[in-house]
Amino acid sequence: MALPGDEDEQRQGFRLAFEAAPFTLDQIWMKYFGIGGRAGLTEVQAYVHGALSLPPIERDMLAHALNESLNSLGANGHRAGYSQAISLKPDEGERGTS
Amino acid sequence: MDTELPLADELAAVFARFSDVLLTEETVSSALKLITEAAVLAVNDAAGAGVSLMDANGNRSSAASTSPVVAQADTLQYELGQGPCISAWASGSPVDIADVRTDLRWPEWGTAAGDLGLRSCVSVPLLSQDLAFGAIKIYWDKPKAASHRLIRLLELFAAQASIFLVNVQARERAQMLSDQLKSTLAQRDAISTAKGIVMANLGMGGHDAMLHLMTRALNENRTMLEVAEEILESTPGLDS
Repeated sequence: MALPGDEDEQRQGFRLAFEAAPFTLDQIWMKYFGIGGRAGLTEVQAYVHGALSLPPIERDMLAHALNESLNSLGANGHRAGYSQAISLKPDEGERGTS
Repeated sequence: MDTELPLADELAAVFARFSDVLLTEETVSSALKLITEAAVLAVNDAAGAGVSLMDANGNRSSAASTSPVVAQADTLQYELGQGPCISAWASGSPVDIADVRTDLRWPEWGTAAGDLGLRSCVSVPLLSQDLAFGAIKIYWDKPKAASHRLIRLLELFAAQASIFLVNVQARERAQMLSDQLKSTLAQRDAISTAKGIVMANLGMGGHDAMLHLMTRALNENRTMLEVAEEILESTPGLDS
């Protein structure tokens, strides 16, 4: 389990990217479910609003679902952040159009 | 399978919501075509009829017409951003043009429509609970002052067409959702299988295998599905 601060930070990052994105949470949940997410829509809604804690793997998959959706639009701007369990290559910077 | 229950609930709800639809293959476009043909029959001296559906921002989402000239006249409205259908949609009220060459409201469109051989037009909005979601228009090749009776007739016609279209659109949306659900399940299946292969090959648990797939997707700037499909394809002995 990550520290509480990590989850809050990740939730904030997700909300920031989500609120600027042209998607509903239903759509992101569907994508999240498609890549293997296990939390239900209600749980995801509760997580986004700060009312529920999700395991790091589910938070990462939710962030990833939003980011893949944004990438598929070729959208610039905010991406949702990952937990420390995801190690990126150091030279990877902006991840934009696909 | 207690842990799967939240998802089972979601899917059951999604399926239940749409289980009573999809009985016919009527699409919005064939419905639109039917409406234009019926409109021309209802107004026997018309040169043609067209129908357009608009989204909340006034962008045309789909359209049908009885002749290429009508299609051109309609398309011109959206290119020029002016014309009777856009006004009918925006105002929610019928719009009639007795002569496109002398009408001052949409001069550019009027000139262009006149060049196409169309001289007069009536457009009535398609309304669903006071919200306009499109417009039907009838064109004539001669100047014509539409009577109140004709406009009223077209309004009644549009009201019936609206009921029909609202139903057909709901059905098509359900079809799209059903298709999306199928592809989502196929994607989840592919990623889950790839996860299993990673677990066996690298001797890691399901949790780490999922992180592995996600990290690879991020570092290779690909989607998780693309990573999963590559793993499936490069694994000998798997069918398809």
